[in-house]
Amino acid sequence: MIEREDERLAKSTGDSVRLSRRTLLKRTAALAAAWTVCPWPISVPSAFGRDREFGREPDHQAITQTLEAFADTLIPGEKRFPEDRAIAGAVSGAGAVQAGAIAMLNFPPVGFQPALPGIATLLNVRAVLYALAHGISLELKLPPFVELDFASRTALLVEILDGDGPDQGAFYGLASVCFVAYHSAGYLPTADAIRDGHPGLAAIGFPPPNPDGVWRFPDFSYRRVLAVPHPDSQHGNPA
Amino acid sequence: MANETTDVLIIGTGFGGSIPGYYLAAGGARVIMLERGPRLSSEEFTQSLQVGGYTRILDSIGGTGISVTAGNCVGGSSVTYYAASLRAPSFVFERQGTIGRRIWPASITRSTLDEWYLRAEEALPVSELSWNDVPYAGGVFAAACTRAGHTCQPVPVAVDLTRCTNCNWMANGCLFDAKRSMLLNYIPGAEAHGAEIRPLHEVQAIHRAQTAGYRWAVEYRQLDPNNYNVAVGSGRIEAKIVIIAAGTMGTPVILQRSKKYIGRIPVAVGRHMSANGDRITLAAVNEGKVRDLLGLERAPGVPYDAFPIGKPISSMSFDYLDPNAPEFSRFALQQLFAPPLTNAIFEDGVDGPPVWFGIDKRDLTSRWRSWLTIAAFTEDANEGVFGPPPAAGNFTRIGPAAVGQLRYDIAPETQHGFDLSDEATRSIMTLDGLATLHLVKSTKNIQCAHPLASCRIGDDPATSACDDRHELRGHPGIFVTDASSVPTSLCVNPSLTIAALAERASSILLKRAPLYGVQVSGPVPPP
Repeated sequence: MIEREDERLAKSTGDSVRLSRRTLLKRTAALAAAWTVCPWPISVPSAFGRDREFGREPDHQAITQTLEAFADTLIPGEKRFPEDRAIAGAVSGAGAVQAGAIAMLNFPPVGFQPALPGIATLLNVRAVLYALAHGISLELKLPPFVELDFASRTALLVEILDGDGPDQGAFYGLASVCFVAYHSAGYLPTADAIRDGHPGLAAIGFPPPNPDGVWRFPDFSYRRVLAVPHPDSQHGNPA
Repeated sequence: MANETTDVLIIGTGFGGSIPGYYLAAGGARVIMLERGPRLSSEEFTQSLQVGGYTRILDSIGGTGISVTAGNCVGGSSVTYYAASLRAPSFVFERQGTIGRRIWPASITRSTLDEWYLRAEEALPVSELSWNDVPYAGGVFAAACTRAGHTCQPVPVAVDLTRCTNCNWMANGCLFDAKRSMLLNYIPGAEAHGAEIRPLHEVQAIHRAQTAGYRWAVEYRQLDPNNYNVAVGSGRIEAKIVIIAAGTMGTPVILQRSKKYIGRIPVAVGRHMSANGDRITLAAVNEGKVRDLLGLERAPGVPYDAFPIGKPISSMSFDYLDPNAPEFSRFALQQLFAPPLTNAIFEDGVDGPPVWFGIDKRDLTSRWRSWLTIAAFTEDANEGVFGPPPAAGNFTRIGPAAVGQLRYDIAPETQHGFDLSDEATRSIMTLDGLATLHLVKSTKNIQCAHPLASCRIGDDPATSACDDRHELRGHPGIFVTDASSVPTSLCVNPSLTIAALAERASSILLKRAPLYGVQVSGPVPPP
């Protein structure tokens, strides 16, 4: 269970918590120690070269969970099952994850696949730093970003995506791909996606094609004069 | 082995390349046209948002402070454009921008360009829309303008209205041959006169020729159709005349890379780029207000609910194009469809962060069919500057996206125009609660679909790369005839002005070709 450490400490001290540099360093050291034994091996060990040392593959489940949580923060959806942690369940109905964000991120023409382990690592590092800065305790049974609650995930992504940090571009690219998954089903032919009930296209009301798979709209106009033209215009052109 | 030779080598097959390609071939010159993108027939165009499909022919290029979309196929941006075909207002040609003197060449005014506009309009051809041809979105915008006390009119479009299905897939290329791209007029005309078009040939640089009688040698690499980052061949073609029409995002890059082979290039190459003052906003309309305030209903109980239906551009207002108003305060407002690929960029309209993602944004996009996106074409300050070129190509491709060297730091004058156009759009679309207005907030980059002026014509050697004949200063026989030669933003969609300038330049080329050893006969009628 996530507990806001600042609140707990505030209760005990009767004062708001301001993390000193020393406190931050102590907590970082504690977390670093915890990482060596924690059960989510995704990328932080990789960042310290441990994967290479032991010849381990990246933890695909943890990467996926991290990216799902990222996508769900951008376009929220409902939990897929009661124990779902990647999806925060902030709303009812489908979100980016159900719309295929992970398939989109792994879709070869997108070219993002090789970067996913690294960017998931980066996100989890940012999540740890965020937790430290805000006095949030992490159990470290899950990737740190997944452990954050929806409000914290959102606040962190605002910090990253609307900020000027060196990693902003990478995360903005990641976010764009998630949006394309939901709003455009960009990993599928659009007609097929609509036929199969793609939840994002359904949510925005993207119209279905004709039975032959081609879009045509014979009814497209009010067929009414709705304005007067500019007096100086000629054949639709400005003077 | 001797290099291949030709009379005229044209780099690029969009408006700027196809038009002189046609006239010079029809005049009797040997013409080869190199195109970095693939060649697709109309049956190969897709109605799909799947990445890997439309991205074969449409580039999204991220710069610093700017994001640009541009065509990448035989026909160039004429294949992916929205076909709005407008003459620029007269005052545009008199603009002084931030340099304090007239930017356009003295020889070009609206009245001197009108004959070339007319030729392009007839050759494309351009159709005038009646109100019966204006789709629902254009109708809502027009009615909103009327209610706010403004004029508004249908937009002339290069569309065969008898073929148009109002499917709204223009950015993917037209499946029905209704949109009049270069593939349907100038290119077949050029090929009928012997011009040869070579797709997937990406020009790297221009060198000096080694063969007597030929002035320039164009170095290219052939690209893998499945991966534009991979070269599968290379070569050089020597030519007496080289026409660079690689687009605003390509032409300056090729010239920058050529500098070490052909000598000093004009200082204006890769500078003074204009984003055409493009400014897009979203109006999320209230369906009930469309019915009650505008009196519109497209079916019983359905006032609008039709964002994805129709031609992407259909109505616009010229009320803010006052020729007597100060520069940087004038703009046109136009209804323009933005595909759902761009849904991320708009703010949610709810106070507090997050601004462009999260629950409120999801709610806003659930009303997508009631959206109406509006483009303002303002006067920008030509503040775009290209950095050094990459090792190969025009930019660095990463999957379907690309990272370019263009930097665009918004000038205060440009921002002033944006602010005024935002306010004008707000005053029209939010009147009495008709809609809520949403600005682009996901990124600080401006969104540009009409890049111009990176190698512009002019009379002043310090601020223009080419003279008024489109010839690159200091390099006889090299001409620039594409959007990069357009000197300033235009306050309307630029395609017809690009075409008109290319028509005018073609007439000059036909006269000047013999000076470079290319025998042509004229005059040549439009295709």
